Amino acid sequence: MKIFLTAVFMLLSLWAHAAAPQRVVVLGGALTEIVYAFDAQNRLVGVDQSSVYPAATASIPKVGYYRSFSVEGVLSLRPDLILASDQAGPPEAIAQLRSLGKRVVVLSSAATLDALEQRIYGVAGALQLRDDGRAKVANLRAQLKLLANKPAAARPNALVLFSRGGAPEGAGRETAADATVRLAGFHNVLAGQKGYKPLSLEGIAQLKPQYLITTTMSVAALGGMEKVLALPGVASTPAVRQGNVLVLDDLLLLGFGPRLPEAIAQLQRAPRPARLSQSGRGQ
Amino acid sequence: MTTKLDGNCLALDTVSLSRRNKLILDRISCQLYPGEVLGILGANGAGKSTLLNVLSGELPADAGRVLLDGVVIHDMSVGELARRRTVLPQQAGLAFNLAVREVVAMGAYPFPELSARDVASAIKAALQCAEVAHLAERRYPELSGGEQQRVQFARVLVQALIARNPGEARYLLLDEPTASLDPRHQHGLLGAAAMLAKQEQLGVAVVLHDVNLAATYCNRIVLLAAGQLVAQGIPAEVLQSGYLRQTYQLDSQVIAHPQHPERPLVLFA
Amino acid sequence: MSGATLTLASPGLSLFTPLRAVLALALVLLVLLLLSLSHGAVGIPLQAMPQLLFGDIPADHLEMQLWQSVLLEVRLPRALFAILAGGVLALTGVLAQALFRNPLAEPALVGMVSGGALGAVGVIVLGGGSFLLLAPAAFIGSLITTVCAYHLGRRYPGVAGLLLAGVAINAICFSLIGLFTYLADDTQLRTLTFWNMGSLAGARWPLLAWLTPWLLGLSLLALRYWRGLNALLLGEREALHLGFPIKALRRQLIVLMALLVGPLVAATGGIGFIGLVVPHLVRMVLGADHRSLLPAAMLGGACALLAADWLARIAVMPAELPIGIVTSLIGGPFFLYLLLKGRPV
Repeated sequence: MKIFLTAVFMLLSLWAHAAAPQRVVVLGGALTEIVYAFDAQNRLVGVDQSSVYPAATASIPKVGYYRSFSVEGVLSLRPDLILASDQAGPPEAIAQLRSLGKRVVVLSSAATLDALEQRIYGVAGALQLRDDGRAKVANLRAQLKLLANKPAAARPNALVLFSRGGAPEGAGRETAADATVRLAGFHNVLAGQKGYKPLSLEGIAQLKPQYLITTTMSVAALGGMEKVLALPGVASTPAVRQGNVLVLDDLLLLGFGPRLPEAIAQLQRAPRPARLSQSGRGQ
Repeated sequence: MTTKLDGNCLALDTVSLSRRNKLILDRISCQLYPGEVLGILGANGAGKSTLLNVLSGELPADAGRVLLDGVVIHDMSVGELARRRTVLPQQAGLAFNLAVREVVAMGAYPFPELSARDVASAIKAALQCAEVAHLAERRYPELSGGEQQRVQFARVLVQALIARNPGEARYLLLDEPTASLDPRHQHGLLGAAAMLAKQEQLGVAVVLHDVNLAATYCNRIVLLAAGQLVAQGIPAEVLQSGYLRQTYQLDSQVIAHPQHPERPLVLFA
Repeated sequence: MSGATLTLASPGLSLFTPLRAVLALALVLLVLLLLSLSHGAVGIPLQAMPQLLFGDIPADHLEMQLWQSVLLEVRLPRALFAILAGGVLALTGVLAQALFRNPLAEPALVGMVSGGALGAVGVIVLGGGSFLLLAPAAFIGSLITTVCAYHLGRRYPGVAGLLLAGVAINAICFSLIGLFTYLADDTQLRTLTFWNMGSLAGARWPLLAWLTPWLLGLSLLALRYWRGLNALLLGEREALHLGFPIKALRRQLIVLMALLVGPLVAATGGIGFIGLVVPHLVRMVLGADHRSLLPAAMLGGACALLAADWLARIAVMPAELPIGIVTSLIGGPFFLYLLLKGRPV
């Protein structure tokens, strides 16, 4: 971490003489959130379609989905900086922007605290903000520490359910959802699988999740809350029977962005089964 | 068998062929000589088309040899063969939008060395010979069945006649070419084939159902029944009620043609 | 009438001789190229084009420098790629239609494209994503599916056999692609996503530098098959009697198609319907004589994909539509129209 910080400061001092970028295109919703967190949105001239938070992003020109953005669309906005998630692409398009002399800063999208801090420092550095992000990172750490200090009973089982318009999928290990949920003190019942995989509805009942966690877009894609709760296999889980169903904003649960403490807080606000009588609450 | 097989002729030498344990051709020997029209007659399923397919080199025989001017036909390449013998199969279907002239022009494909001018004059002659010159600019799929058949005939004429060297024998094999034609065009097509056989030294073999058409245009006739040769020879020798009963299981009366007494006329009972 | 025009197609509509049609298509292609180069998210004035393409740009003219880099590094390679891919797609459509003796045969329909995709996806998941591995794998996938489609499609007469074989092969390929996707880890998934969405956006000079000679060379080779292709239209027996060794011809055509479609699929992903619609239209105007059909269909395919790419780029500026959506949106209804009309072409 120290090495990283010194690297960032070195870069900052290198850029100090150049003018700070004023026309920025962001490829990746989590990075857009960070730009807003720094209150630097007045520099944004374009974002990708995954940038849906905060609502004000709706009025910024869109250059396509960050995995298949339009090179010329980006160029037409005349950016002096492109902030890209390492998931943005195709790689040829990133290479093309660079070969045309555009400054492209690619930041890791990994769902770890280290990577999140890197993202915050990276955005601050690339935008040459007066606020170098250290305060934000310190604040973030403090908040997370506070949340971690909350008395957690034995980790309750949780199932993270998604849908992107097709059959419901479950989040396994090495996903952003898994990382967020674990930080909030849950045990992911699908930790045995890697990545997002179609859900085996029969297997779900066996795993007996005490919590069902999903996102607003997934609920919409599956046709509403009632449909989700009625999914075969899901309907008979302790989570649904006791009404422990949590619905989070998509970017909040998946973005692993500056709102991570908020995501964790929302997840933790659910009553713990240890102290749970029959007063189950749904969302 | 005293016939010389290494001269100019397309010959079957004791050819047998079976499919699914059924003998379709049983030790057949016959020859097609340049300058003659050979009629192949027989009931349905007698093996006429199979005989023609073996003769063309398309179907390999199980036993026996097929010789073109003394050369075993399967030793020749497909391209070489196409320059020497031509086949008009039954009912060529075509689902694509080709012009009549383009279809006829395909007859020249085995001769890519020819100039466009030579090809054009061969096409013109063939179109006239097959009485389809007036259809030259039409689209093939729009024609009636009979017209399509005549266009295909023009195509094989181009292939059979174009760029022939002096003394070179060519063979033309026609499988039921009259099936979809009206009587006038049946006579027109066979008349043209007979004339070309004589003038251009073509050997023409033709599968026919109409015995009297065969009597009129064929120099020699082969009668087939159940894969076996019933008789072969000039029409007057072959078209006798005994052979015909053996071939068609039908009684018949054979009389002299009222206008051409040298020609037999077959009246089936 | 000269001998040369006699052996060429006599046109369905007498206005178009094959030569005139090819020239007209070349002209249309040129106009489309200029339109495509001058339109896009970055507006480039038409009158600046010559200087941008051939002249010197003053170092202090930032606007013109942006135009020049967009033109030379983004639009030009992409337009050339569209021309190349469209031409090859239409060409393979013509080859497939003659081989299957069916005007509805098309590389995507008979499973060539999904076979190529399966090969490419397999390599991404099992090995690496290098294009030099993707292209041969896609070729092998295309080859296998084409051979299968050919042998299965012949078991039923007419369109039914081919369509049934295509449906089955596509279903198998897509399910195997699904299986590979299921097995993929995170980085592989990312490569897969990029590859799936690839379309023409991957057009860069280094890719074009080796794809162009490969595809052009094979296309020129394909043009030489016009006699055999015409003969195939008559029928396989007829082709044999016309002196074409039918088994060898068939084998050569299948390998040729797979060599064309495989690397193209590896580079672009699936772009549907160009191979169906363009040959059909050209046959309606010029007839089915492959001597003129092959070059005219190539030019027509180039025009069609260039126009489709142009639409894809300008429809939702500054974002883009995937090109496959544009071609399928136009080609799908056209295909239905062909099925309903059932007219021979």
